[in-house]
Amino acid sequence: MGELLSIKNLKTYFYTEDGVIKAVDDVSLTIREGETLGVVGESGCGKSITAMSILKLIPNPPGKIVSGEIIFEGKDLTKATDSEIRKIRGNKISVIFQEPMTSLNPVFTIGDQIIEAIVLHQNMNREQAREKAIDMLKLVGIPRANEVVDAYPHELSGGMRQRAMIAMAMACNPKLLIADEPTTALDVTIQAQILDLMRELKNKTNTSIMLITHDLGVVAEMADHVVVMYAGKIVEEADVFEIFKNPLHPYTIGLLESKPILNQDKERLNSIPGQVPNPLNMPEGCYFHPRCSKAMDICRKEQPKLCSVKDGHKVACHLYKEVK
Amino acid sequence: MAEVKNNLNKGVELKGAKKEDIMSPWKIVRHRLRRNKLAMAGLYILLFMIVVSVFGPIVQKYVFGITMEKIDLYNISAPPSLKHPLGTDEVGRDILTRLMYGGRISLTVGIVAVSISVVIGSIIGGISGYYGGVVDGIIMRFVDIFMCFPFFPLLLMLAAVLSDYKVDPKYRIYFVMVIIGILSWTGLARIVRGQILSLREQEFMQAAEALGLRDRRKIFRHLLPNTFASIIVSATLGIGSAILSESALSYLGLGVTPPYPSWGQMVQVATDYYVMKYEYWKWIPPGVCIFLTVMAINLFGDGLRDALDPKLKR
Ligand SMILES: Nc1ncnc2c1ncn2[C@@H]1O[C@H](COP(=O)(O)OP(=O)(O)OP(=O)(O)O)[C@@H](O)[C@H]1O
Ligand code: SF4
Ligand SMILES: [Mg+2]
Repeated sequence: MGELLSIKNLKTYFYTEDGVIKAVDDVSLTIREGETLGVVGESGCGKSITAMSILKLIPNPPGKIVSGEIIFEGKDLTKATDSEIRKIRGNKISVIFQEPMTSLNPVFTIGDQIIEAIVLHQNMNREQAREKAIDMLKLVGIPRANEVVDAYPHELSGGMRQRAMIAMAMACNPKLLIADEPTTALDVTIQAQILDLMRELKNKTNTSIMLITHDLGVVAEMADHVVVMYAGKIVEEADVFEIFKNPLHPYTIGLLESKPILNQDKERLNSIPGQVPNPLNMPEGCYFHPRCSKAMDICRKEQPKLCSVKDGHKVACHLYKEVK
Repeated sequence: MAEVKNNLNKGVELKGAKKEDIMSPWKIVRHRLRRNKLAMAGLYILLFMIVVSVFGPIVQKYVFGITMEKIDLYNISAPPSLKHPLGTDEVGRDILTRLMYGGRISLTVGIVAVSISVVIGSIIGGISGYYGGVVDGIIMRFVDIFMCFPFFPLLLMLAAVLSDYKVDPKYRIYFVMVIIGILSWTGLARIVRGQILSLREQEFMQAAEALGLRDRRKIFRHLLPNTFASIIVSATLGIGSAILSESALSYLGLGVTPPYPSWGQMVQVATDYYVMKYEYWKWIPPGVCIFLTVMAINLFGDGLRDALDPKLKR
C-alpha cells in the first residue's frame, strides 16, 4: 500500500492572551491508501487540531501551523495557496464532524447541500448533481432518498443526518475521509450502523479514513493502525492488533483498562488518575509523569522521544529502549 | 427506515395535511402567523391598501373618467358627495383618486427605500460579521458614526438641497426614496452583523469551509439566508418608518411635490386653520391612510417576528 498522506513534525500552536498552547507538538504520522488510521486520546489532546491542520481549517488567529510538512499526493499542503487548498477540501479530502445535528445548514435542504459540494468540485450541472445526490443518499442507506433529498435537516433524526453528512463527504469520491468522532453524538445502535456503513464504503471505494475517537471499541472495530496522543504528542503507535495485545505506554495501558469489558464482575471502571495537564503549563520531562504509576527520576527531567521498539511499534517512554 | 418515517410524520401531524407532505420552515411560519389575529388584521389592511392603490386609479380612470390631475371646476373644495365620495381639494381634484395615487407613492417609497437599506445593510453587516476582527472594528465604528448623525435634520437638509436645485417633481420622488434608504441601513447592518458573528462559529460553517467554499459564497449563500428571519422583520417594520419619513418630508413640502400627491403632502392643508376646522375631508382621509398603513405594517411585522422566532415552540 502506498502512502497517501504523511505528516512530518507538525506543530500547530494557539497564541492566546494567556500564552502559547501547543495543541499539536511535533506530530508525525502516515496514512496509507485504503487504510483506516485510528487516532485516540483524551479530550483536548489535539486530535481534532491535527486533523484540521491537514486542510488548514485552523482558526487563525489565534491558531497557526508553526512548522512541519503535510505531504499529500506529493505536495506539501502547509504551503498550498488558498485556492489550491479549496480545491482539495471536500473533493480529495473531506471531513465528517462530530455533531450531525448542527453540521448541516438549517435553511437548506439536504439535497441542496450535497449538490453544492458536487457542483463545486465536479463537472456536472445541477440536474446531474441532483441525480448523483440521490444516488449517494441511497448508497448511505437512506430510504426514500428521492424524498429525503428535499427534506430540511430538522426533519431528519441524528442518525439520518450523519448518513447525509457521509453522503456529502463521499460525493466527490475523496481519497481521504477525516471522521472527527463521527459517532460520539449518536446512540449505540445507530453508532454501530454508521460504523458499518463507513467500513462498507471504505471497502467499496478504497478511501483511506482518519478516524478520530476516544472510544477504543470503535478503534478495535474499524482501524488498521492506531496512533495514541497525549497532550499534543504521539505517545504510541502500532497496528491495531499490536496495540490491543501488547500495549507499552503506561497511558495506553491506562486507556485500555478504562475500557468497559462485558461479563466482568468489577465494581467500577479503572480510570487513569489525575487530569490532563494544563496546556499552558506543561510539566517538565514526560508530560504524563504526574499521572504515571511507573514514573522514574528521569521522567521528570527529560522528555522521552518516540522510538521504534519493535517492527512497526513505536512508543515514547523511558521504560523502553529503541531497537534498531 | 423507521427513523425517517417517524420524523417525516411528525411534520405531517402538525399540520393535519395530506401525508408525504414535508413541512418546510415557511409553512411553519404561515401556520403560526395565521393564529395571530392582530397580525392577520394588519396583513389584510395592508393588502387592502395595496390592492386599492394599485388598481383603484385604473378603475377611476377607465370607469369614472377621473384622474389625479383632472379638475372639476364646478366642485372646488366640495364636501363628499356621490360624484366625489371624499370631496375635492381647493382646485377641484378628486380626493379619493389622489389618495389612491398617494398610496402608490407612499408604498413605493417604503418598499424601494427599504430595499436599498436591506441591500446595503446586509452586505455591510455580512462582511463585518464574517471577517470580524479589524474589519469588523472599522466597519462598526463607521456605523456608529453614521448612527450619530441626526437622521431627520439630515434628511431635511438633503431634501432642502434637492429643492434648491429645482429637481423636477417627477424625479424628486426617487431621490426621496434613495435618501431615506441610504440613511437607514445602519440598524439592519448591526442586526445582521450580530447574528453572523455567532452563526459563523457554528459547526455547519466549519463544514461549509471543509467543502472548499469561497468566502463570498459562505457569506451570501450560507450565512445571510440564516438571518432572513430578522431581515424580513426589520424590513417590514422599516417600510412603516420609511412611509412616515416620506409623509413628514412631504408634509414639510420637501418630499413629493405637486402635482404628484402623497399622503403626507395632502395632510399639509390642515396647517390652514379654516381647512382644519371646516374642510375635514381634505386632511382626515390621508391622515387615516398613513395611520392605518403604518399601524398595519407594525402589527404584521411584530406578528412575523413572533412567528419566525425559533425559540417559540410550535
Ligand atoms: N480556537 C482555539 N483557541 C485556543 N486554543 C484552542 C482552540 N482550539 C483548540 N485549542 C486547544 O487545542 C487543544 C487541542 O484541541 P483539540 O480540539 O484538538 O482536542 P481533541 O483532542 O479533538 O479533543 P476532543 O476529544 O474534546 O474533541 C486543546 O487543549 C485546546 O485548548
Ligand atoms: S516516560 Fe516515565 S512518566 Fe512518561 S510514561 Fe514513561 S514511565 Fe511514565
Ligand atoms: Mg475534537
